[in-house]
Amino acid sequence: MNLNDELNQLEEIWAPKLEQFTTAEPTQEQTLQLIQSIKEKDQENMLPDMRRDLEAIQANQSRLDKITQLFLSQWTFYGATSWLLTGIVMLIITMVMSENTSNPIQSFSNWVQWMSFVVIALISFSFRSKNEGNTMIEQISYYPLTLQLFTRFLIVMVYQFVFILPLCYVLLGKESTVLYVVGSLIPVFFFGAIGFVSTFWCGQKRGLVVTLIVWVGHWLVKEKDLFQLPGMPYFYQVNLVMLLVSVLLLSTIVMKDFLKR
Amino acid sequence: MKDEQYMQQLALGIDSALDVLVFRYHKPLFGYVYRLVQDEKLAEDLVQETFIKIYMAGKKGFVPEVFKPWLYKIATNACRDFWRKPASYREVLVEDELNETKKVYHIMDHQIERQWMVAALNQLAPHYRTVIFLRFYQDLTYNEIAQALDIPINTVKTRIARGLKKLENIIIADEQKRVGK
Repeated sequence: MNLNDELNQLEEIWAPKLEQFTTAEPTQEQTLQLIQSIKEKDQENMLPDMRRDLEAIQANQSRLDKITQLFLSQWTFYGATSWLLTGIVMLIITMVMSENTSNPIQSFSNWVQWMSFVVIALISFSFRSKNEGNTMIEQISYYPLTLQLFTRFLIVMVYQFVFILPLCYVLLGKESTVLYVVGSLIPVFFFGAIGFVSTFWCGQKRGLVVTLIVWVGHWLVKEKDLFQLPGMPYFYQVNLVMLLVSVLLLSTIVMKDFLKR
Repeated sequence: MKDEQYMQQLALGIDSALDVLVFRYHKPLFGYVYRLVQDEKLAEDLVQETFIKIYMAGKKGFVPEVFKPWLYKIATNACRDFWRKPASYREVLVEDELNETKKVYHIMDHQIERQWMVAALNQLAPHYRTVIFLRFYQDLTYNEIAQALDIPINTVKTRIARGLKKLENIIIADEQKRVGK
């Protein structure tokens, strides 16, 4: 007798006998309870996926909300205190220049130079690496790095411009004109652009060194040509060159992004 | 609709597919697990654990080729995991079981022959009991049993044949003991 025949025979004998071993049968209510408990357990076991939730929230935001959140995230990431301290430093420089110099024009020139230095410091400060906890990192990592860097650059620039406009009047009083404001904004923008672009291409430390070399370099020039005031012979030319160089430098980032796509 | 199609629905995020599968298999699965572990509460837990695993797998997009053997494979593994637990833990459960003897037996026919059958089956090694339960109570084919237990089909047949012969020997020995008393 082969195994299959043997099995058939055994099964015929044992099937009725084994039927005696009955068990309890769950009721329909118990089945419904089981379904409910399975789903509840699943919910309990489900780990909170903060990243997914955050991305879902951010994906549903309008363009304006996304831009606002981007700026707020950069502001929060480095802390309001840090940004405000920078403002205080700028204010102190302005007050010192205003009080200690008898010649307002010379004072203004010095002030613009030191403001540009603050821009460098501020760029370096705002691009530093900092660990503010996973939640914040998760939040900012949603945005592309280029966009984050550019946002910080914009924050620094806007910050500077907002301070410069009233402080310009503090220093120059009635002599303040649009040309003086432009003459102070463009060098600040120029050093901001150098700081930002060099950080973007060379990294935070090397970028700072490059920017400082450019800034210190202007001291070596006898006439301090970079900080032309209204009425000086090359005021328009120098400011125009600085503006063009800044735009060209910034466009390299746009180009990189374009080529990457 | 086939079980596998419900698993596909689950993979697509249709939660109600689970309800159908649970309604289809709650009773047979409970019977199988209960026969293996001989504890109503424990059987309920293991059945729930099995369905949770199925639910999770489905939600992750897994669809088995054949659902039924896969279901029993998960349930059998859950029972094996329980058996592998430290003896102390099992002793506690055995004590609980003894305390709940009335509860367990209220669901069973009180005929003596039936109790003998249960006692005899319990004396079989788990690997024999498993194949016998899957074959006689769950109506699985030899091929399905082989898939559920990850063993060759001939091993399934051999185990069933040997298991039934051993069962017969156990029952004969028990009867001789009773007659001797």
